[in-house]
Amino acid sequence: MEKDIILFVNAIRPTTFAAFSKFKGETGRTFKFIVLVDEKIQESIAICNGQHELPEPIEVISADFDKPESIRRVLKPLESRLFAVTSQYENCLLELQKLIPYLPYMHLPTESSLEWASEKRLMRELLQAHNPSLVPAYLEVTDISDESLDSVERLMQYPVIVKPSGLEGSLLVSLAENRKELGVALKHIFDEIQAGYNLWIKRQRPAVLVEEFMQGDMYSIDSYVAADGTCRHTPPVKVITGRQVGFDDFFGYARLIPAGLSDTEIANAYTAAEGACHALGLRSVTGHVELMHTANGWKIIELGARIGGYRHDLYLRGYGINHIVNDIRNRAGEIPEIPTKLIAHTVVMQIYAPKEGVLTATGGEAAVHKLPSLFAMRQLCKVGDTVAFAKNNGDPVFEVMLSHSSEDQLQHDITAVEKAFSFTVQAQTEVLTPA
Amino acid sequence: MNTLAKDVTKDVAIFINDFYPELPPALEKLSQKLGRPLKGVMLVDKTVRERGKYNADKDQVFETIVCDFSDTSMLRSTIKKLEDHILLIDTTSERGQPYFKLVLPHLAYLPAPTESSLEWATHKGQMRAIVGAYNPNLVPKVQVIQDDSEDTIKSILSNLELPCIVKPTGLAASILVNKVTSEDQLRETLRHSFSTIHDVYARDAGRWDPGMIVEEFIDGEMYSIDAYINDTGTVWCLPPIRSKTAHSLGMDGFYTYQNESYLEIDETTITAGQAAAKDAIHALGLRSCAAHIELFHTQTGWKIIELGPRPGGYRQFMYAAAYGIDHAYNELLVKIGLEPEMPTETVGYSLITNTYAEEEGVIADIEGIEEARAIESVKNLWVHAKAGDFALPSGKGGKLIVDSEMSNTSQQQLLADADKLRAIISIKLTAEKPAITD
Repeated sequence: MEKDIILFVNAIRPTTFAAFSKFKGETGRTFKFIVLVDEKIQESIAICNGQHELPEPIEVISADFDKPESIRRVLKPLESRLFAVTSQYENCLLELQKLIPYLPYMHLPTESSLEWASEKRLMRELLQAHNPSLVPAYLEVTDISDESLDSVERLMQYPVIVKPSGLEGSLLVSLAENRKELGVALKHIFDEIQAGYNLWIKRQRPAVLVEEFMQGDMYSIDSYVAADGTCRHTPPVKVITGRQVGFDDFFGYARLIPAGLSDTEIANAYTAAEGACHALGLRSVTGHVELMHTANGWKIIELGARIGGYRHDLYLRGYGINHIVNDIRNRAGEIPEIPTKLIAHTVVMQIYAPKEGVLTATGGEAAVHKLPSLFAMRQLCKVGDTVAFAKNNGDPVFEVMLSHSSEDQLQHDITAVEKAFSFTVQAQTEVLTPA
Repeated sequence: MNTLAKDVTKDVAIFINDFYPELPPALEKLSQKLGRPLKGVMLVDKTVRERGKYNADKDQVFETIVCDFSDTSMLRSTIKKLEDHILLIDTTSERGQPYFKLVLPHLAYLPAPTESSLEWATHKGQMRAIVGAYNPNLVPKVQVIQDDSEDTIKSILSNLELPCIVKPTGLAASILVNKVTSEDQLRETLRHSFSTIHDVYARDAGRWDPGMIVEEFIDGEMYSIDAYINDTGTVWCLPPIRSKTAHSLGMDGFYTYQNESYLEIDETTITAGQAAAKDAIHALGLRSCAAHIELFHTQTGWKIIELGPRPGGYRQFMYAAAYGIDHAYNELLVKIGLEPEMPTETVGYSLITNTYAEEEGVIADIEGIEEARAIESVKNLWVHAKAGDFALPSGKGGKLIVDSEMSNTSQQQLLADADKLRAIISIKLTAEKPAITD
């Protein structure tokens, strides 16, 4: 029987439709998409992952992922036609993990590897065991007692990073320069962490990590890990954090390609990324690896068992890499196609309001729309919404995607974006002025 | 040959915790087939070794590496030193499966079972739930219980029809398995089982948390089928082995009194039994392993009662003597993606005898051992207790005392020799003691 069904666990990325439409145009191959969602979180995950605004209708089926007979009932009619099973979002990995043992004769990751990749403490433990030089010093902290602070200080030097073990995207991540700031940061994260897990439909046990702050430049690589462990890497992406442009926050302000690294630096980054994927035993999955290029070499910040956010758009514009299709073909045991010739300099920017509060007005959108390199802009927070920094569980107000064959034009347009936007937050008007 | 078989850098076979004598010759045979030397490594959990509850490689045929399996970092570091050379990983014992589960995700690029399938297959309650979800006709009606409270008993009586079988979820060899035909018997059996279950689990390295299941009694003949499954789910089933329980012969207890290779069922029935075994394997999602399936042939078809992700006990001997099949070697073949060698001609007949204490008491003597060893068909005979040890019947948690592997090219001679052995061996008891001792 023809293998023509792709099963998306819990949710599908909206760009998947266009990615496969392009693939069909190039190869003639077509697939049927089905979303299989855990009925216990069906509505909340649909809202959280934007499933009510998909560009095309899609068949959605549900099951209770904790009941074998329920899973069997929905899988039985599909099994012989399944081409691949995928989880495209971090908050869907737990449900993929639950499906794995019911589909033992397909290419899928191990159950534990998904758990290890979703929990930063376990991830660091394994990375350290695999290669101690890959990770900074870290400690799981369970309270804000003096004993906990002493334990941190015994193990590492300030500054330190305080972060949740199981959330992505710099949410609730903060920096502490001294003991007092560490206490404040820990109190804040313990107050907010459950709400963050609830918001992002994360059903694991909330936990907090403190780790030594790494000085360096941040990059990411998405690696297609085959069933036999072969890693096929996408070109590196340079990440500029909010902190580097004047915010007291670690959100990804800009993600840029090309990353501006030498061939040797890229080769070393690939080696580190591959080590990280192997340390966690990832297979038949895409590893989204965030790395820090430090004076002591490449360090792993974290690793997710899924494609990175915005990476499909970045890679498609930048190199013509159909990242979403590659991810699924790799999961199905096919070899992904990774052109490496640069087509266009590309960036994704996340624009946060400079202050937290109620957003009462925005400005500059019209000017941004006129920029020659603009190819997409999305407003995530509307007037009347409460806006917050990522460290406080907040979203950017705008996402802006720019791409141009001329590096100079792109740089010009990035500067124009930075100058264009203005926000009124709680009756105060401030122009976004990066440091 | 597939990639693993051809990759000359892969020359290490890992075996978890328990060593079995059939492993070195099987590995040597594989080495000859692949045309390169292969090395066996016993990877043993530190706690298992400290407790001494495992079959150690006493003659150090293989290298032994000890590691704390509960320490993920240590396990990762230990395996990292070997992983570039590992050809296969195998766990032959039932009690080793929870440890195998911990090692598996660190060897993600080798063909191996899923983690959950090992848990499902070795937990009687989960096994029935998963197989039942796949095909409700394959398993008897069952209830998993954690206590002997009044609510639990009421729930059992409202869900199931007596007679029922009461058994632990994570023990092998029919220990604490009892049939109940009345409410009073159900109460008494549960009371006794829950009063001793923690001790027995500790003694016998029970899998997962101690628990019991109650399932509706199936009337029929018991068989077992061993099978091999590759990484894509292709299943090769071996011929069934007939298991005669003590209960089926009118004695107390549900332990296997005798296993026999010769069959009195027709080819159609055998094929149907193998199809049921295959269904159960697919229900549990087993792959890249051997499986031992115990099943009942009933008037309404085949029913699965147990399934282990490992070869059955004594099956190395039984299949070799009856069909010329090298069971351990075949398991290694499927683990590296090669087809098992499946001769179908009968070359002889094989039989296993198991002897338990029929009463409770202290062993004064076990008579007739040397005389039994001299019987023509007896190829191996083991004694697992000695004078002074406390003995219990199987249904009360008692362990096997004497077992033997027998074979002969004459079925008639084999049966006569089995009768002779049972007549010779006698377990003499002196007095009772109140507690289980190891």
